[in-house]
Amino acid sequence: MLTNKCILRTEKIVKSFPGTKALNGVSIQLNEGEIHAIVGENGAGKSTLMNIISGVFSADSGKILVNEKEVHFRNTHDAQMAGVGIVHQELALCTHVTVADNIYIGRLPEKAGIVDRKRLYEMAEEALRPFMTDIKPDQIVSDLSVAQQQIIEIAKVLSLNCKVVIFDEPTSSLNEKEAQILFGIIQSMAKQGVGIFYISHKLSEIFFLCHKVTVLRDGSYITSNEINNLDADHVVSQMVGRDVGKMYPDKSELHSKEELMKVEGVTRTPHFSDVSFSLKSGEILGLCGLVGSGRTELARAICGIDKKTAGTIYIKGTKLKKSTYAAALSRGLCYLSEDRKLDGLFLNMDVSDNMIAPQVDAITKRKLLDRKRIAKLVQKYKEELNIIFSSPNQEIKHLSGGNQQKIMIAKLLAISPKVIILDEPTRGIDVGAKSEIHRKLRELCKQGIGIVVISSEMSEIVGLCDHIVVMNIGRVVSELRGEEITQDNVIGEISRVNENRRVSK
Amino acid sequence: MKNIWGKVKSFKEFTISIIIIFLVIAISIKTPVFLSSSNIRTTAIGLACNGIVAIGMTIALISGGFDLSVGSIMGLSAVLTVVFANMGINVWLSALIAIAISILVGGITGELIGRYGLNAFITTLGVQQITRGAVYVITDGSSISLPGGTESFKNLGQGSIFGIPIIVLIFVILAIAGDFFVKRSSAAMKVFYVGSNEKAAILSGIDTKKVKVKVYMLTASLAAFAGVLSASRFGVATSNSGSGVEMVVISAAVIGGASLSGGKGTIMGAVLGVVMLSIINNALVLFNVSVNWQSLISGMILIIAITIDNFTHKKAQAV
Repeated sequence: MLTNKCILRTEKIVKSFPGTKALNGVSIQLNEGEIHAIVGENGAGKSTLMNIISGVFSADSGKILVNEKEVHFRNTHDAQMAGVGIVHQELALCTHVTVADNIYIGRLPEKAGIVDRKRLYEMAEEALRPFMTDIKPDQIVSDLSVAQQQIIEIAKVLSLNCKVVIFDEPTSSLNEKEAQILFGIIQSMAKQGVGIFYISHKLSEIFFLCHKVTVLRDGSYITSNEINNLDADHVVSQMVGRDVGKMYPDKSELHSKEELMKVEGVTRTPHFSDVSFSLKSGEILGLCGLVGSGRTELARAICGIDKKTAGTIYIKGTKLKKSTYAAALSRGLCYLSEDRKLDGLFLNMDVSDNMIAPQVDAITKRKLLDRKRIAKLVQKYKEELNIIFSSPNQEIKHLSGGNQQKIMIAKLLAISPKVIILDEPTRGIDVGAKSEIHRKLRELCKQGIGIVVISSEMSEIVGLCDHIVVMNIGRVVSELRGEEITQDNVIGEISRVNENRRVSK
Repeated sequence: MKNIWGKVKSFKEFTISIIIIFLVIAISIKTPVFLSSSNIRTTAIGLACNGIVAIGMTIALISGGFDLSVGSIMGLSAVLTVVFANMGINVWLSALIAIAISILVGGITGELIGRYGLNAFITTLGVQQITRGAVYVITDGSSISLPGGTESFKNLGQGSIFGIPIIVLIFVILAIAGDFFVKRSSAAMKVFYVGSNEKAAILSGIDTKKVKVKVYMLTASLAAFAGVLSASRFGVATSNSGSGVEMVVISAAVIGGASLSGGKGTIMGAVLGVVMLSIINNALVLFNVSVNWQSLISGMILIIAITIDNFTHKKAQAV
């Protein structure tokens, strides 16, 4: 039941993190029974704002008002007590205990100081009913699939009977059927007067589900509109906030026949199967598809980081014989990880140690590290990529995301690669560093280095690439080139396939 | 002048050096005998073997693992050296065979941890028990002496050159070489990468499995060498030679700045850690404190050291 009664609003929320201003005076309003989408590029401040509303972070300044009363949340528990719950994108479950224990964690029913298991399982059964799943309350969470775990995460928050529920990318690990059930649940919650904030990269979901859309960009509030007054293009241009074409370097005019890399029938069950494409000299190739379409898995398998079940890779016409990453590196094929902190950087080590990692055996003189060459190398890339750090001995964890990302790229350039696969090369970094990286990639491409970019950001794929391979549930569904590359076409290719799937079912 | 002071302070082993100097001054005021040449000599000889084991342990800690089997391996190599020598094999050759067998044990440990991904704590605990068990079986629980005609070998652990005990010289040379190796070589750099972020090391093309196998071979070989030295020093190997050494050297390395979470540590720090623990034990003896107090006090020092380290670390991160 959508009313005009405001149940939660924020006033001029400001939040800074070391090095970045994440939110710059954001005021938004959520009404009773409203499903309200928050959209924006990575780094726009969506998650930060939601984390502040739900008590994960506290704001530097600004107010949160629930039912027009100002509140101060010290933690998520405070927020839950005030009726505000959040379903996080990342799973945060205790995997070694049962489903029921997770749903009612911190508020288990007790009888004389002992957990009342029977009552607990009944309650959990009840909490899981709307999801129409076959998950049993006494199952151990680690035995469940990621999608099932996501459902538990959602059930946990819903069982709090919150007045405001925030969903941060809730469908990223659900399949379509599970997502449909979730949409049903969200809609019935809204009918009961619950206010919902919904964050998603998938515009199709937003147009299907939401009443209102608020756009954030670079930490600032841009606009809020009724969904009926909007179309997808409009939302995207508000999110990006500029003419996408100008943001990116000019596209390639070269039409070289020289094949830098050929991928033939590469399969890794169950992630993707029979993927083939060819990367020509002078073009930037974009691999796109929704999260879970198998892009990252594909990149890792091409480089030999994960084992592939079948298929062949050719670098400049010669077959890669061994499927190990060391073999790929020695042939000049390298991979830039999507996750700087998890497997990209050595966070407690310094700039120069990070930069020389892939060639630590080569940059030596009689088995000892050659400090002069290392210093020269660091200086060279500092200038070439405009990386800002105070000394080569500065610990890398103190640098901004953009500089960290540039160091990761420098580390790969230092081995004189032939083909680089970059997974989310600009995730979570500011606009300036982003366009510097884009320009650098174009320059490398002109120098004859093969560039493959994986990105969740549609505008990046469209703005940067000369050749796009669209993937869906582990298969290549189409390839676009030159003039065909437009936002509409790419979205179309992804959604068209979804429709086909629906029909075929 | 300020600059020099800054450099001195940024010297990684600064804190522990200061503590040692302070201890030396305080103890020598109380008991002047502490600085007598015979006391210094005894203390130095006593810590040499532990110091050599600590070099290996520090490298294992840097790799993000650790090795609880070093004490048993030290015992195994001491016992094997003596047993082989008693079988009529040349004592030097016996020592080499004992070291080779120990390296083999370390290689197996490394394969289990590196290649099959077993937990370092459990694996090395198991190897510790197995090795110690083997020592008991071989010696039948008793002590075995080196046979006659092994005086040149005994000289290794008992003799001196220019008045300095050979065993201490060997330790100092190994410590300097180890410190240089860890600070400058590309092989040691790979150990830092593995300990700092194993996944990122894999994505830098580093064969992390191979690195780990080598690390445990190294800890075993240094422990085995220390075992040989102890056999030579005492002329006898007992079934409990080397027991408890693992805890002493882990404490020393951590006091010297190594981290149990990997990616951090210096040989000089670990060596200074061993020196500090030995000085304290020595002082307890000189003060006529019952030997029963030693373990209690060493444990407290370890806890204090890591607490201080934890706080200074948090402070550094906040800046």
